Amino acid sequence: MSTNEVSLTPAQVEAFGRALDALKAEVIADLGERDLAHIRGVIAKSHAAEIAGRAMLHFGLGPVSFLGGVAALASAKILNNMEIGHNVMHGQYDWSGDPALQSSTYDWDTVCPAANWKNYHNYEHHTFTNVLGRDRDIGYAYLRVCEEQSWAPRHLAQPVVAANLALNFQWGIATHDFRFEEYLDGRLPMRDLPRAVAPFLRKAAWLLAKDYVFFPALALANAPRVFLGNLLANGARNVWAFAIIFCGHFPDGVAYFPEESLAGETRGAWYLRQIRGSANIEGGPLFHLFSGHLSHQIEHHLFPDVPAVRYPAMAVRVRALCEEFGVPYNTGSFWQQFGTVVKRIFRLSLPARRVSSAPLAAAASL
Amino acid sequence: MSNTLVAESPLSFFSRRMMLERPFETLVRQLAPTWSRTETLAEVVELRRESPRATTVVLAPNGRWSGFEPGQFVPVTFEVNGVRTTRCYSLSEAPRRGRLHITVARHPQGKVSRHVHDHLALGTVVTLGEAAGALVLPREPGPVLLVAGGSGVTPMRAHVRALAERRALEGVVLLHDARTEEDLLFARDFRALTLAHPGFAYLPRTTSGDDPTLRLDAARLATLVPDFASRTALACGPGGFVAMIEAAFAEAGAGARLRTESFTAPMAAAPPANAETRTIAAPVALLRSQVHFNADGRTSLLVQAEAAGARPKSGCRMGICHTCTCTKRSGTVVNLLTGRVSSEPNEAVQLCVSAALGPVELDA
Repeated sequence: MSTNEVSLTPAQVEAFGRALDALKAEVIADLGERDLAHIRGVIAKSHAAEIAGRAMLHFGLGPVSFLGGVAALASAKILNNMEIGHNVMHGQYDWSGDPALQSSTYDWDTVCPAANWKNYHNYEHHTFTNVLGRDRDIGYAYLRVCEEQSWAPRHLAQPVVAANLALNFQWGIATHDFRFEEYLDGRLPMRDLPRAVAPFLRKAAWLLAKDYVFFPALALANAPRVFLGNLLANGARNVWAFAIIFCGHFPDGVAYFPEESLAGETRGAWYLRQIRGSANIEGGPLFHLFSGHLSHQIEHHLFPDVPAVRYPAMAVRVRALCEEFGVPYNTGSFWQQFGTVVKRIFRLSLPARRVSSAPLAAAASL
Repeated sequence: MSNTLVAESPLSFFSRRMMLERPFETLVRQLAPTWSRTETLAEVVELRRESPRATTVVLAPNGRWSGFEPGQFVPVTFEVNGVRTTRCYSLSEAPRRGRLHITVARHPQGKVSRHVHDHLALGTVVTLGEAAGALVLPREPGPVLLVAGGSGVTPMRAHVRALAERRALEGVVLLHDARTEEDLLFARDFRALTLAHPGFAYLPRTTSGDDPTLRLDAARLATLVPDFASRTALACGPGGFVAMIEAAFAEAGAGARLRTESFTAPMAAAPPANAETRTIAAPVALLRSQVHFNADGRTSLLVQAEAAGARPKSGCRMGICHTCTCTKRSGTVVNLLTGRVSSEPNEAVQLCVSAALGPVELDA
């Protein structure tokens, strides 16, 4: 694994942090109508796509309208989860005061309850990004994605486990906050589990009923077609979200950090860890939109509560700053980044060949 | 979300649980832009320039609007460059089926009034609160005196129009003080009413800027309306103006006959002093946890709340995760990272990176 080492003096790290703070303040001061028009436009399009997709599945007959319906419904679900849900729940539009766009009340159209997501994602993952033992998103407790994670025999099966996770990603996302492994080994009392999972079970039951009972029943004779169409749309959304998110932190060149690196970490050092622990994907505006602008994972990790539609413009400035300070900036095409993720999942399914622990030591010395 | 007082219909329950509400709402709003299950929305259907500095906005509210009495005001929420901002405006026309009129005076420092004058477009949808205010007349008021200072004439306009419709304008006196002829809003309309209703007295006065010798005072009031103390009176205007009228009535022993409403002109917010040198002692109230403390203007509200014994929800403590975001009911705070100042009521603020710039009430 290649690491992205940096050699900056503490003063340079703080200067780097101040420059990023200034960039954020500049964009925050410029937020307004335009940003609101963007997100409302995406919301309207996602709703139109959902209505069109369901109509094609319900009333269509041939394979063309079936595939069109699946594509439209999958697009609606992807926009809802990624550009709208993920970003609104980060507080990117709290400043507008629009009750429909508040991070405290928004809930997305996926089985993961908003409260669980905001806890392990907004707080744990975004604060402790790529810190082993603190960021539970490193491999999502199922996979070994970096050498620093110790190998166990179960990792031999991880290519299959990863494919299964991709197909059922919304269920992985939804259950990640419960820390089942800690209930199993007794760190959390089992009697608390039912109450913890109740909101998830309730939400999941209603959303399953919607896609696999209610809408098929409404379609009468077309019920099997609608059932299958909804299944494929959910599956397509799952695979897409998995691919984008795995490209964010698991491609080659991304650094992982020991827990000690958190001690006395300054704001500048936090910024630096976000950049070194994230990777971008290059693409066009439509690709960025459908990734919820998580194709700009680096900018998202620096500025998680800035409207994501601003990231492409901010990326130009962030990249220039990185060059100025000699900080590596990890970016590549989707297939480049995803290719290294897949290779890594296969490679790390086997125990480590004896390599030095130099990457960790380098990170710790920062 | 669901109203606990009103039983939710099964249809709404199912659509909420299956998350079909929002797509449904988008669909309906294509046809009826003000449709809402929960909010009183209104569409801007007419914009009328009353003077270079005043615009009347005519609103068509949805079915949730519950009506008003002449003299009352309504909180109106506009989106000013994407940020919801609420101001209260007196309704300036008698109650009419399906239409509300507000008249907005332009202040050079007024964020909302400038927005209304320079950017508000027909078809815009705004959010309304409920009508409120005690500047109303009893059903049989006897002789009436209406005193208005500046744009305080707007609720008086609603009274005059409603009284005219009821043919009850005889014997009514309307006294309006404004700086210039241009600021004598609705003057043409009031003059026309004096012709149609000979018993209606309209006494417009211009004070030509800030010359204090021309301003209305108790002596001038007694000269203009000798029987003022025996009338049912309403007064509306800037704070000093209204205080003067109140004093005149109190002196005449007629304080009980007078109802008033006053306003302060918007001021440009002074930029907050440098965070390192700022020293204040501003009372902060956490409304949910019932904790009170004095903010120093520099330390984050989260740290100070915890020091005072409160335990608000929190996460990253560095302004990124929004776990501690709560609604600020009133007061002014500054974001210590971005310098953004929040002074409007009911804005979302992050406790971990916000400091108080004055007294603050928080929903935490």
